[in-house]
Amino acid sequence: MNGRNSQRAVVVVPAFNEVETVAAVVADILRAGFPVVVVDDGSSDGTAAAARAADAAVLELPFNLGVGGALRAGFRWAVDNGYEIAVQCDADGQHDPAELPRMVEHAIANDLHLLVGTRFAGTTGFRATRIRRVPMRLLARVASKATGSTITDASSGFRVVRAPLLGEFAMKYPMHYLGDTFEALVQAGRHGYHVAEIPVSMNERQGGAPSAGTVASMRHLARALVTLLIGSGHKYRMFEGKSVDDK
Amino acid sequence: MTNNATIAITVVLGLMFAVAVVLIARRGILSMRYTVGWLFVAACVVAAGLLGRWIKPIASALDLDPALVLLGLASFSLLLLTVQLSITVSGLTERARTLAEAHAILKLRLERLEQQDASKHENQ
Repeated sequence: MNGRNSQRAVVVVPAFNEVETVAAVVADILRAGFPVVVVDDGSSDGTAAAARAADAAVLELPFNLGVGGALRAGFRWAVDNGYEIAVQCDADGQHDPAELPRMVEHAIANDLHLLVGTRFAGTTGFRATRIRRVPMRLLARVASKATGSTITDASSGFRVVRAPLLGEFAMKYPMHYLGDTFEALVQAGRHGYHVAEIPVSMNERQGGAPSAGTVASMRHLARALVTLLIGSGHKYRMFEGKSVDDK
Repeated sequence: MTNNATIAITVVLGLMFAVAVVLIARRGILSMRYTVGWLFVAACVVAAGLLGRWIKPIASALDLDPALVLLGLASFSLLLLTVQLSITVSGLTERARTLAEAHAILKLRLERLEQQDASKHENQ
């Protein structure tokens, strides 16, 4: 780590076919005062070019890896470039970059390694479908137990990650469904990292299609249950170190 | 079908499978590691044919048809093999992922170095 970006944050934006929204998201992040790296996850619609034109650093994955794969690439790049804080933010415009300074300050002030922006605790009008609410509550309960902190939105992708957890995520980060959100949260808690959540405002999707149909919700339920079965095992430890206190 | 005919068919099938594996390997589309594995399976099929009479006492102890016992053992072996292959594929997926990430990071680094180089030349 070269130290020149110590305590400075970089925003990591995983993007897959988000050409409609990525430029506006990058512009908003730069306006909020943060450097941004867009991880183009094998898009075929010119997302990388749009992000580059908007002055973002762009990591172009040669093929689609999924959100977890894109995020680990972004975290690796952040660590390689000396950043100690990375903020994960969606490219579809749902996450409000105006929240970034408050989230980063909150994480630093409270010595948090992982801060999750929750859609359920206040300022947002976000409501999930009934079929989705059941597994979401279940995931939240397991995540709360693992982290020792009240988690209401275990699958939120609006997060601040600080060193040394950032270094762990740069080396090992789950790439399967809900692995990048729920499992990463549970593992951070299991390893003794300080985890909390903060209410954030959420925008409507600025482009692309959401996956909120009944079939998609049922699939979400099935996959969430499998993730719970595998990712919440008490003996499973993702990182090599025993806990943050040993570091 | 007589006992001898069953043995002959099983042994011939095993040998045919072994020949097919060798032919595929010689075309270079099956690596040595998996060739050895599948040849082992072929050897097991031949052995099952030749040692078929050993199945009979086990089958009668379990009150099952000998063919059913053989089929069950074969299915279970293939199931184990499939799980092993899934584990291998998972490992390869992780390697491909790491490689893709390294590729993306190096590409950005190269682009930036090229930009720096170009602006240096413009200033000279």
